[in-house]
Amino acid sequence: MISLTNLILVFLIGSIVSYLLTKANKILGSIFNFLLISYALYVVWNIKVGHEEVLFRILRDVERTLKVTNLGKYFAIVSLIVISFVAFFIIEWIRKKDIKPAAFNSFLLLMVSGILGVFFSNDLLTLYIFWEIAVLGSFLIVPMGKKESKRAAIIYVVTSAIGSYMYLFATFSIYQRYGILSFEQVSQYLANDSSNLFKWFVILFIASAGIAKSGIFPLHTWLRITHGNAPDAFSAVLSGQLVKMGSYVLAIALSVFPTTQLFSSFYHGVPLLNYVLIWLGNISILIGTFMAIRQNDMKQLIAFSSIANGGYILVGLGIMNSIGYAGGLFHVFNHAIAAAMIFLSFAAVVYRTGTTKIDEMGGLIWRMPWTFVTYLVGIISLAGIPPTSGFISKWMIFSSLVSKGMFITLAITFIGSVGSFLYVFRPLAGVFLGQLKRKHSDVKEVPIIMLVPMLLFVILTILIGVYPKPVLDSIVSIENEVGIKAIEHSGTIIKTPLGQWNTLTVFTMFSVGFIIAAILYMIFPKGKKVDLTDQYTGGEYLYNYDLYHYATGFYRFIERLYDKHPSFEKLYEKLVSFFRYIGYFTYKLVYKTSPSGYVFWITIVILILFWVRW
Amino acid sequence: MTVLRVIAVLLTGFFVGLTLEGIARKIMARVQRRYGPPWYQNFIDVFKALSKRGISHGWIFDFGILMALGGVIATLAFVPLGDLVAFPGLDNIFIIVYLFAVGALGMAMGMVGSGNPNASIGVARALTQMLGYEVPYLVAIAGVLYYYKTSSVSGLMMAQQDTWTLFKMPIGGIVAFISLLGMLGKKPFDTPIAPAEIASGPMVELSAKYMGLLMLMHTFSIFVEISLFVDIFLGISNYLTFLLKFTVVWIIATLISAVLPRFRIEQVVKFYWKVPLSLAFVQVLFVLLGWVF
Amino acid sequence: MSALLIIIPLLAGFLFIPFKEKAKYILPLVVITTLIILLLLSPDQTNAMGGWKAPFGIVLVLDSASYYSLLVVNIVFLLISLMPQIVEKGYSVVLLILLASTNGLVLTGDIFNSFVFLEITAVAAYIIAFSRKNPYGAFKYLILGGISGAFYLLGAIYAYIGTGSLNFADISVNIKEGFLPIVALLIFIGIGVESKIFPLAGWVPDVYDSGSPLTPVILGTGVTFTIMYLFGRIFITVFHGYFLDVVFIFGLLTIVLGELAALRQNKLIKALAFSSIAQAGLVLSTISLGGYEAIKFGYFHLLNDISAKLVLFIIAATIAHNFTENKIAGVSFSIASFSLIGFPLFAGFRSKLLILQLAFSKDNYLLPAVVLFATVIEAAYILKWNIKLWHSTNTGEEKQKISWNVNLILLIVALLIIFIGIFPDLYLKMAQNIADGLTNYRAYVTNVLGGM
Repeated sequence: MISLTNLILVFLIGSIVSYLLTKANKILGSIFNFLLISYALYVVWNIKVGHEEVLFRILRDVERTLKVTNLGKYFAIVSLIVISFVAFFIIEWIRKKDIKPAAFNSFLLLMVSGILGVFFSNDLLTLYIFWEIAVLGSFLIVPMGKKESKRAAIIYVVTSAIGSYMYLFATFSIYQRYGILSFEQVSQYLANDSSNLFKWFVILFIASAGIAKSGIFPLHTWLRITHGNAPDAFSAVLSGQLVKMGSYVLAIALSVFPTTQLFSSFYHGVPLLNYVLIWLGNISILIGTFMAIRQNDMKQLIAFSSIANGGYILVGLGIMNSIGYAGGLFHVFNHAIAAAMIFLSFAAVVYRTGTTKIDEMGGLIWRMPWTFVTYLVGIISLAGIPPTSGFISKWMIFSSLVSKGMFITLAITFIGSVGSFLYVFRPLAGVFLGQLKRKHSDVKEVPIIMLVPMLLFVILTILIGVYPKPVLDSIVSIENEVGIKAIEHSGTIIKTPLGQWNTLTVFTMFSVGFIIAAILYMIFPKGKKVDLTDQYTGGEYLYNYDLYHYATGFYRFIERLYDKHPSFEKLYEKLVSFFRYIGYFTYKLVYKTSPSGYVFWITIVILILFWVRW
Repeated sequence: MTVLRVIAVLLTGFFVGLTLEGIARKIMARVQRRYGPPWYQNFIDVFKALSKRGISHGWIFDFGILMALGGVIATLAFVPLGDLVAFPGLDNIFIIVYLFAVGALGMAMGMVGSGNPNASIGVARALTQMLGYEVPYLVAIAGVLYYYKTSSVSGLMMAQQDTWTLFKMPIGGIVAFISLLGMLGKKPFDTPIAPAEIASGPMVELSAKYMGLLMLMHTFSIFVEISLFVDIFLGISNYLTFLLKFTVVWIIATLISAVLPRFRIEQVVKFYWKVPLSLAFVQVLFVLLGWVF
Repeated sequence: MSALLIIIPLLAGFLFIPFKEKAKYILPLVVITTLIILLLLSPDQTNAMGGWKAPFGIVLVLDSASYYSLLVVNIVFLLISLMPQIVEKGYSVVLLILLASTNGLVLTGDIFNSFVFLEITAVAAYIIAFSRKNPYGAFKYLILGGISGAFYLLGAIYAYIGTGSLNFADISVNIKEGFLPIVALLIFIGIGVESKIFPLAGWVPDVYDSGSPLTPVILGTGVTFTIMYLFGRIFITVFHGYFLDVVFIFGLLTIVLGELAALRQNKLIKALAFSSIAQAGLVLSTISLGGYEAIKFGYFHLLNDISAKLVLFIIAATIAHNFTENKIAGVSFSIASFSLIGFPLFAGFRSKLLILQLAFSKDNYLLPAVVLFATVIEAAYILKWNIKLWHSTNTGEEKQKISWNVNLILLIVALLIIFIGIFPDLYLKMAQNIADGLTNYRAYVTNVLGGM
């Protein structure tokens, strides 16, 4: 078995190889990418927990090591599943797509090398280094998308930098105070630290990297523009995987540094710090949900839903009891898979139609049925409806919130959950259902290579929804590792203090219900199949059925209620223009003046110095 | 044994549901000084519709209806009817609420799949209305769950040994009842199907068999919704007292809806989020403070 | 021996004034000669000019600090001389003079002599900066340089009054208590103009944007390094770290305002000029933290910065449209800019990391906060330019091809940046030697004054 260090190096070198291969032949390079990533998945899958490797040294007295933990392994496997599926999708997708294929494939591998390092880092600084490599790789891919993606990439990297530099600040503070950086030692030292302020500062600042990455309020604004404009297949990686890196850091900040032991309980066993973070999660859920309802661009819509789901994960992790933490971790898996499959189905739609605007499409189900199935199962999971896996995690989060008596958070998670029915239905109705546009009448289903990963996602989601044991097992081992009471489960039955449920029974009963309905359907006379244009129109004769499609302003009646919502994107734009204004002011005043102006400045400096010195 | 219990639950749903719907039409007519159809009218309607040849708008239209009916049947199987519990210990409230959404999603998908914008508008409204009533409902229920420390519906029912939850938590009960009206889609909350505005909304393209299956689905949905309210708020009941309580709740709901006009859709959301939601929070606060009678 | 380093380029420069056209070819030879001489020399030697022993005569001091600084400066000149395309007609002679003066500036151990070399450097810089497109920028530079020179000279005079000598070593030992502040202040202003400290360096963006690639490249790398060396020599070796607290504040201001001003620029070269200002601020404030480590890391960062800037300025001044035609140049540019921002795997990351760690270990939380804030802004505009150049579509404009030798050199420097990012020992060792030389006051004084 190849060592992790070598695996990361293979990816770094592989990115150059991939560049050359893709230059020679697009498909060959993509296949190479897929094989390499699958190989990484194979390696990570079989790696033993507790395995350690020395990597390299930067600071004195700090061993740079990679260590396999249950938490990291779980995240790495989820990530690599998503990326390898997407890499398979790309084999076909890259053929037609007007991007720089060689650079795309090469940067993808660069990003994966960073991701691998992030999940197996044993200390804060190594994590930061690989984090930045992953950011670099993904940042380079983003601007290959739509026109606005150039700006998106900047917003992405700046937001990410804000978070990761705060993280770095905290890292060095820890290093300065304790002289160590590995997670285990840091958590021990933190536990013995008497300064509450320092603990708050450290955990909040470390969490801020996760906040920026997983799109939690107040650093959520990059998701809309970045996910919305990145290359279509890459959006699946962004939302399905990169955002989960943020969740990983949040999980570290909250559980590896045992917040419940570091701080006294504020409300029913939840410390104030966790409570603050949970509230950030709440606000993200609200913003994500309500803004997603408004979007007409399907990719931006799911981008907002990623904000909301990031909020769910944070809420789950923040509760830090057995069931809530498990719910948060399970939601990582669910959202990764669901978001990836939704974005892949969108990529397939864009591949054929070339647009992401919901109201420019319609009735695509008649041309792309398998893409529709992928989207459908994806949204069922995203909205948390049984029998898909998405429900399990939502149920866990609800249960733990009820048992903790956190009713406002609970209400907000309900809003997010019911709201998700609303926003996922908008592309469903606008893009896939309804009247087929005339210009899309000769659209075909995407090639089989693109369908395979999409349908594998479908199978995976339903499989885990019915038989969640593999995921639950890894969650149990993670909970044992970080010292939380592990959840009880027996394969398909999940137990909480509030009660239990059996995924298999629910699935069976659903199948039975469906069969009963099907029997009823079959014994009664068959209906006559009519055209889509054979409609009740209130007696009007329609010339253009393209217009007989309800997709523009789908939820206008509710959007109206919050049209004047405060926009954080605008606020941040104002902040940026404020900085630019200061810069411009400086430029005008100091750098662009006449020589006499310079003399003035020199005089000022002399005066200041005289005043300070004497 | 489980199979028999499931069959019993489904049959109860079918017969009692359709009967009560017929009775409701009768009551409605009497309130409006009409004679009204006989109580078994809905049986006639369903079977008549099922036996006709209708039109279909393609596979998603058919599939949506199957998914709707299948989802609701599955949901109904998990609902305890008094002491008739098909899956003891597995009747988790959240399962029921979310499994219920499968049916709703199936219906929405099938109807929008018909390609008629009226259906899309109706579904958009229905989902919006859901956003309105689900939140106060779930918060009120969550208060009950927190108080009794269980999320099993039959567990919640059995826990009401001394008094009914309705009397313990009257505000929560009221909230749940108002939300129930929204769930049932009865006036004043029948915006999604407003016949005069959007040609019955989702049902606009339905005919014959499809209509019949959807009527069944509707009946089962009503049964699930009211059963949950009865189980959680109206004390311990056996099968018979359960049906009695069920009938009373249904009749009250019908009477209320018989005399009210229709809300506009944003009024629905505003109303639910202003009055019932704040009441639900008040109730939850009482529960947290221990002010439960 | 070390005087040859000044004499050879100076002589070559004057000799070739009649054959300006041919000077292009002699430039690399001269630089290689000086480098060979430099390599033959061993550090730790003092040469008294004309046999006048210090503190009475001018001495040229070659200790480890000046040795390695000379190495850096001469290598920079070598790289530039190997790219004759960017050197405009007739400027080769000026470059030779500039080389002589920078070498002199590094070597000299006399404050008045350093003033002379500073002025020669400035004059050469005025000439390079002057072009038909940009007379006003050069004019501003001229005025400002003149003023700063006057302050420097004034500082030298006060130092002379205060010690009775012009020798650095002598000043460092013998200066009277009362004179130190005024000398430091005057010299701070004198050097501040050249070392791009915040309110004093108004000339930078206009001069760098002169239209010729040579100006920003030579001023932003070789000359910047020389001035920074001089700064370290005077403020650390001579004043023993006195006045650095003030420099620290000005350095922080320079970082923040430099980056902010860069954010608003519409021209790449101007944005880079401001970035250069900000980086100079970072180096100065790092050095001002005081102590051996701070100086080492400061110069390490300076080395990384000039490596990156060498690539950035050349490319920015030659192709300002897009990289789709010049992929190799584009890759070099991106690598240099990632290093400038401080992405891991690249050189800038190592130095920024070390600086942060150092600041924390000195319980200074302000510098890291400022550096990180500035880096966010820097990332914003540098990456914006990267994206713009890689993804721009207007290929219709004049296509500027970069010739192979320039490409090759840029690529080598870019690969060096990656190499340093992974194995930083090469640069760190240089920086360490420079820091050794600068902080070891006693050795310097004994070297120069001969155990007085």
